Amino acid sequence: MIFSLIIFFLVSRLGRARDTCSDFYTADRAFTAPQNGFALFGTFMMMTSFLAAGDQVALNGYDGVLVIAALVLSWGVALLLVAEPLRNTGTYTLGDTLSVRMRHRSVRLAAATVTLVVFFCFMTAQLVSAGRLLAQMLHLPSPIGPLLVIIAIGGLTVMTVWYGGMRGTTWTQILNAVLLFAVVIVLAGILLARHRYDISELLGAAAAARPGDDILAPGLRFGADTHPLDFVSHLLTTVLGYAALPYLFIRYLTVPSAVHARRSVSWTIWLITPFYLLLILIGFGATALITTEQNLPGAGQHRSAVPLLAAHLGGVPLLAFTASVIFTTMIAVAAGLTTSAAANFTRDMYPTVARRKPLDEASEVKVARRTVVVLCIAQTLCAVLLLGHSIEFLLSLDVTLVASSMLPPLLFSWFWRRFNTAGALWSMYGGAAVTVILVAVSPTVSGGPSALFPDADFAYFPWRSVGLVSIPAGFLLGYIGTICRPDQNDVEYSEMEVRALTGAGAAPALPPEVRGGPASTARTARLRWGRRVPE
Amino acid sequence: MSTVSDDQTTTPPRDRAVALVADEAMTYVALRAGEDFARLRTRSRRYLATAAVLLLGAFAVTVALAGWAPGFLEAQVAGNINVGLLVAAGLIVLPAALSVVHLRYASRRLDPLAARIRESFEGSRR
Repeated sequence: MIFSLIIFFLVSRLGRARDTCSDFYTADRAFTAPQNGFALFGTFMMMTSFLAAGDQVALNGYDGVLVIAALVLSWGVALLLVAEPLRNTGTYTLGDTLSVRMRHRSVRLAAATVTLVVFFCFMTAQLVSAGRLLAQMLHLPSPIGPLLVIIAIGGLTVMTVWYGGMRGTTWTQILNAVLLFAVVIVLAGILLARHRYDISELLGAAAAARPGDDILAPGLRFGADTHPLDFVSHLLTTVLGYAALPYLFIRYLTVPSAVHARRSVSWTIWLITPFYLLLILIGFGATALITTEQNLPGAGQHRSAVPLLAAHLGGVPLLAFTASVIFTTMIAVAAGLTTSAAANFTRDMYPTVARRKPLDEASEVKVARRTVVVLCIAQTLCAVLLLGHSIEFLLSLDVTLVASSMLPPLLFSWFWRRFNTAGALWSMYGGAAVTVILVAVSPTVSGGPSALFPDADFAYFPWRSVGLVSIPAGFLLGYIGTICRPDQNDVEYSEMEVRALTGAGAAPALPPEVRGGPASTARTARLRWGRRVPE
Repeated sequence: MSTVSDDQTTTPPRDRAVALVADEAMTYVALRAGEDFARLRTRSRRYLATAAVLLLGAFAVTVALAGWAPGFLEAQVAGNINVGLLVAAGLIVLPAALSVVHLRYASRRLDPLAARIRESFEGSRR
């Protein structure tokens, strides 16, 4: 097992490309649509959207299938509403996009704060669950095992991003996409072969394995201990939150134009659809084969349907292969997250907080590299501290935060003329505050065995998923904030609208002669930094 | 950044950038007032709204059925496959179908207009 870990580590290192300064964030925006499509897929498939989605089907049957449908649909929303305007109006970060028509400093600071909080939640949740899961799979002893896994992932992520920048990260993600596909195809293949390639028989076996529950019909999540709207809230959050994941933003910006962004999302959709269809089969297969022998994984436990099934169907070799793929997945996802978080910190937060002037290019990349190291260390520490606790609240917090505090200002700023800085700040800070407060008083934090504080009980909010309240709140606060303040800038909205729809003035791909090297001319600088010279 | 620039070495770079920004802002205003842009905006908004409503509407209907009228989705179709599973599979395939429509619609109806506006924008900057 350790051997295959080493092999995959080497492969992921080979995927690393040469290192130049200027392409650290977006690899000169020169990736092709298929490459970016694969990389988007590789970034998207993290613990929650790959392993936990499989678990959802294995545990909740039909209602889990609805969760998967929500994940796929979120890409439809991204294709329609997010990818193209973002490519046309963005340079590197959320703050860059918003500041096309807003006051730079406050909006940048807000965007950076929200993004970094989201980043922290995502990374901690990923690291903790990966640490537990991999240690369990590799039979590492309990306190040391997860610790080692988390530190290994953190270290390798730093190395990938530090040396490879966006280019290295992207190739790791592409490799990861291919490996993930290999795992699902092998698992689903063996599974179907056992059931004579008859899907109906597989489903029947799954239903027979749990005679008490009707897993092929809706109801396991709807009818459970809480109100059906809790699950509706979960689905809504999934559709809207995954459509606007902040660390996918930077991926839309690694291609030459909006047309390429559109095509790469389309590629991702075509990859994700068969992947999830196979994952549904795997989920039902896990129910059919495993329930009888072991308990299936539950929320917050360190087991997962996909690796359990791998061990059951292919023994140690297949389990080792799956473990290594999960390991590379973690590195790919963490590298993508860290790159975009570093961009956020160096471009949006550092100039507004630490210094008044933005950095020049060389020192910005230097700061970005240091940020990567610091973030990864902080993240690893955080994950180690949370190792013994339930992290369900983080999973519920992160996507909800995205949907209720990042999606509203983005959509408003592209499509609503009246929108202004006050509205942007209200929807970002307000949406985030509502989400955090609601999650804090929800059953994920207190009042139950799977909560962060199982002994205390201050769960005043009845549902585990708060999106159904916090997402409208984010939009509403953006609206109220806007109409409370009279300022409105039609000139800047003209720029935003024309740019979003046509790409006029959007940051172009760098022509080969400009790539690398110092920013020597005004033209180079403009090409590299987008049109607007920052405040 | 060092600033040995292409042409206007006399003006300090910061002022030049400011002048450039003001100039461009007016170009955007002019472009936005143009007929091409109005057509593009109407077309794209109408299309995006329709597609988004269809996409999310289909999902909302399915979820509503699953939550409040599960009987319909439980009806057997063939073997162990029921209506609900077929509907869910349909939902999962829906974005893929949408992406085909989207690429085609955008490249035929939206991109030519956008390209024309972009060209006149770039033309005005020279």
